[in-house]
Amino acid sequence: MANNIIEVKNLCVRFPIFGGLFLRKVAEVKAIDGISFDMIRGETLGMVGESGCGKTTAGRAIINILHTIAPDVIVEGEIWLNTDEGRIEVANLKKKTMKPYRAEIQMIFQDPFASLNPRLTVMRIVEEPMLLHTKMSKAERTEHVGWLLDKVGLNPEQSQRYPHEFSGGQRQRIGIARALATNPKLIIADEPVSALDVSIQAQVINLLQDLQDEFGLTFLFIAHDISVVEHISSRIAVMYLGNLVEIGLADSIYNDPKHPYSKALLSAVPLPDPKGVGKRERIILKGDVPSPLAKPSGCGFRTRCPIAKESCAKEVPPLRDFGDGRSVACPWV
Amino acid sequence: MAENINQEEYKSVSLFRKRIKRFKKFKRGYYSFYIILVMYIASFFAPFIMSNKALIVKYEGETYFPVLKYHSGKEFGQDVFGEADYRALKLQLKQERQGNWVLMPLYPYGPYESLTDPTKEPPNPPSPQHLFGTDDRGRDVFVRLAYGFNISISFALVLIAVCYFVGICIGAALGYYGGWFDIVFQRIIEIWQAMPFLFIVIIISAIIQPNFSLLVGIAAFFGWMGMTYFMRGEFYREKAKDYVQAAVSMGASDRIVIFKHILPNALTPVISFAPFTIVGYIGFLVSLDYLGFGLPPPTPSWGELVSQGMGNIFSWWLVLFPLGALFVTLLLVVFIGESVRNAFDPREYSRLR
Repeated sequence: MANNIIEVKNLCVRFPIFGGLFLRKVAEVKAIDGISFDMIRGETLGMVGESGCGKTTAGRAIINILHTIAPDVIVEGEIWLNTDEGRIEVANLKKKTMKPYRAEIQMIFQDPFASLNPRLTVMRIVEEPMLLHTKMSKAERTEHVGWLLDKVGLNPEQSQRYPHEFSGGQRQRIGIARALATNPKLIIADEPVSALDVSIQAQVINLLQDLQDEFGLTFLFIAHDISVVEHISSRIAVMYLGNLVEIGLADSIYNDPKHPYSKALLSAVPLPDPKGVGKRERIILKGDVPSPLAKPSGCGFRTRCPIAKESCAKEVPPLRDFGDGRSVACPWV
Repeated sequence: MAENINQEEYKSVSLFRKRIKRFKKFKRGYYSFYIILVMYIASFFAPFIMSNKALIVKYEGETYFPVLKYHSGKEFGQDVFGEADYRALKLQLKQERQGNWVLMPLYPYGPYESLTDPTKEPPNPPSPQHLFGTDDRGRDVFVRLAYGFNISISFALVLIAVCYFVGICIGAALGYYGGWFDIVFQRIIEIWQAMPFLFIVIIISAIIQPNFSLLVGIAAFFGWMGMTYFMRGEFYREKAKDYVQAAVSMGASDRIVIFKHILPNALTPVISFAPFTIVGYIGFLVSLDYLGFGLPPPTPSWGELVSQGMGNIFSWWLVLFPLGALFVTLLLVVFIGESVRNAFDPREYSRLR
């Protein structure tokens, strides 16, 4: 079995915008503009970047649900999923053909108040993947749901309750139990803790780590809080305006960011010890993130980059290998 | 002991039950609902309560149930054409005192019989026999109102069921699939809706005599569009929510996503609009009947009675009672609608009381 669970090759996601009398396509939002990365079995890849940089879209492209909200979405490139049966390209699969592989990839959502159907009991929510992917009997499902709820730290006796009877942290645990129900290999966690209180955040992150150890899960952990990502991730990928600007081991990126955007992002992380604040160099970027409707030519970051040169406008800088799994998309570092 | 209290069964309630519970708190709407419900159910048994057909006839050792089965007057030795006159039979048998008897309904007048009194020209004012008087053909107004109530409510309920079913299905499809299908179909709906509905119904009714189901069919054909807008909007909103994304990411089919996940969460406008739509449909049938393009005579209908009141404006009972019945019914349904809307309003303190 291949070591990589998923290989993303030159993934592009574009949302067309229609306008005018006859609703012709007038523009395109390039949410993701050609990103490539691999995920190694059992690792946690933290994906960071500011709002609108395409990290959530990347997660949803991998799990192939973008068309629900945007039927006109254009997904290009390849996403190879290594399953027990072989290597499958999932980016362009249609609904029916994708279904067998859905059990392999599951998702944990950001907002625990929106991600659970308010009309269904916890039992029904958690058993849904089993109903769709297995032929378990009612008794087996009930038992498995109880076991899952126990695993995520909830009382199995509460399975007949409705989501609105739980707190935010408990609801997120229900979401995690649902994601685990089909025994998936890869879990895409889309900001799973950003809607929670800080004290609950730590509990949920520790729960995720325990579950990863127990079930050998691979996580794609999407977040904008770099200190959370640093804690849980083995590798970090930094995104800016639809492009991957830096990827590498969590420690090396956290301690020695190379790309100018990663440097700025990390310098914005609050320090737990106020003594160090004065000593640290704070990089404050000029201006705003350019609109993904009108991206700058060449390197997307050049309009705000402190070390930009004229040649940056010519072409998108490719990821350069720095060894030790580190790649940076900047020719000047 | 304290432990026992803690372990007391915690009752888990779904959102819908919560709302039902809240609906019960609004006494005005809750009681209105019961009044309408009881009256509607009772109106199905109207032939047993108010009719000119006897419930039971015991004649020459045999038992008859004329309310269920037709019996000609000859069978009971009456010298009449067609069906027996049970009120006359009752009097006759009572006088004969031979052990034969007739049990009449509580209010022994039928909706179709002309109670012409040779001494007086109809319409006749209210009397102890005819509580609400008789109309210009000598038919009992009270009985006709009662039978008309059943027809009015049944019409509104059947029509709303058909309209909402079609509207929900099409609106859901538009909202869920979106894209070009949505854009094109919405324009079709807009054109469709621009057709002058009432005039088309009148023209069709002028050509072919409509019956109950044809009238429902015509009204539904032009009335299903309203709900599509709400359902389309609800589906657009709900499908972007994470629980729908979660269902799709688990591999749920469109059918499961639409019916199991989105629809139960999108029904709030349906339920809160329904009572007001029923009010509209009752009014619609009344206006059609009033104009003479509704249900064929001699169907007991409220609109026909209202138009009689118009023609006999000095026969006050023909004006007051049909309009009063219409007013009370619509008011009760509006009370229900108001309470349902309040019960479904998530903002606890915005209610009008």
